[in-house]
Amino acid sequence: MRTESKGERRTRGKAQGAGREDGLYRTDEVDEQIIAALRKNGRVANRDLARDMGVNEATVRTRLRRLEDANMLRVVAMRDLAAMGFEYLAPVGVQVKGRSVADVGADIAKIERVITVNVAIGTHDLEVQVVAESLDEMQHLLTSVIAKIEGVERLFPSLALRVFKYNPEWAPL
Amino acid sequence: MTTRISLDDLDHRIIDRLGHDARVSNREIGREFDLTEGTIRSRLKRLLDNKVIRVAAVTNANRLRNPILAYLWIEADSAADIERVAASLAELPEIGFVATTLGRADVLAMTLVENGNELTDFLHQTVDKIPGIRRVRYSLGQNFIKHDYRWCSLVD
Repeated sequence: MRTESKGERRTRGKAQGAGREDGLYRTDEVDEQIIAALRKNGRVANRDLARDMGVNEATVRTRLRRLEDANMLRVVAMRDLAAMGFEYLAPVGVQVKGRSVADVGADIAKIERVITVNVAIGTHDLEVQVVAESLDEMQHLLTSVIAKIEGVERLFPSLALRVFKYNPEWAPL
Repeated sequence: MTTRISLDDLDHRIIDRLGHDARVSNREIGREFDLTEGTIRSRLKRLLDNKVIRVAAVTNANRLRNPILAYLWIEADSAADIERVAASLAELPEIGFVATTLGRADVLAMTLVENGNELTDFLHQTVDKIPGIRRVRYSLGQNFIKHDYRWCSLVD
């Protein structure tokens, strides 16, 4: 997660209309239409989006800014793993001993090739996803990097053979 | 499989620039990089056409009150069923990730749920009906320490 981009976030006065209640932002139909359109194509111009929705461009611009400022939505370029050279994706379960799961997870999260670290309930304490350009690199990451982190007791690796679907539509923003 | 195109420094800079805010106009990127709007437009078109990147909205998982990422580790009835099971799971809109795997299971699928009941309903009413599935084990991801949502696989 790019925590630094949160720091760059603009802060603006709250727009009027739909807003927060019980600490949750309530989206209305206009917001949902914008979200749906931008899920399909994040590069569509505000003007075209406004025309398709039958509202004016300022409405789209204001709503979009409000959704972004409330940390509800972000429009980003998602990179294809294989096109960027990462042919190998390993979902790995981690068993932790003698150290807090959060601390071990934080250390694993520092590794650039680790794209997900999640504290889990079940047989493993953490579920992580590791990417690599080659099997050699994957082997190195698992046995010489992750396995050496204090508190990592056992790894339960698997390797994706063929990815059928990987389309993040949500994230902890 | 799509053919891989080679990426140069400018491609990487454009991808990085769009990685934190993809609503920026081509003209603005051009200004920042001291290049023409047309150069940015044609580079971006090449990246999109060749499925190197996809530009789309991501919403906050916290739209759900207490999001749990469920990892479904699926065992197929037989080796011959594995790909079909994966393809059927990929068709479900609730599921964001599906891959056939070596090791812990035949297929790994991921879905975001709000609570245990929702997961149970989904497993019983939807997943169990897919032919070729012998057993589903699951682990529940309760707390994201890291989740780089800017990665994806642009299949099909």
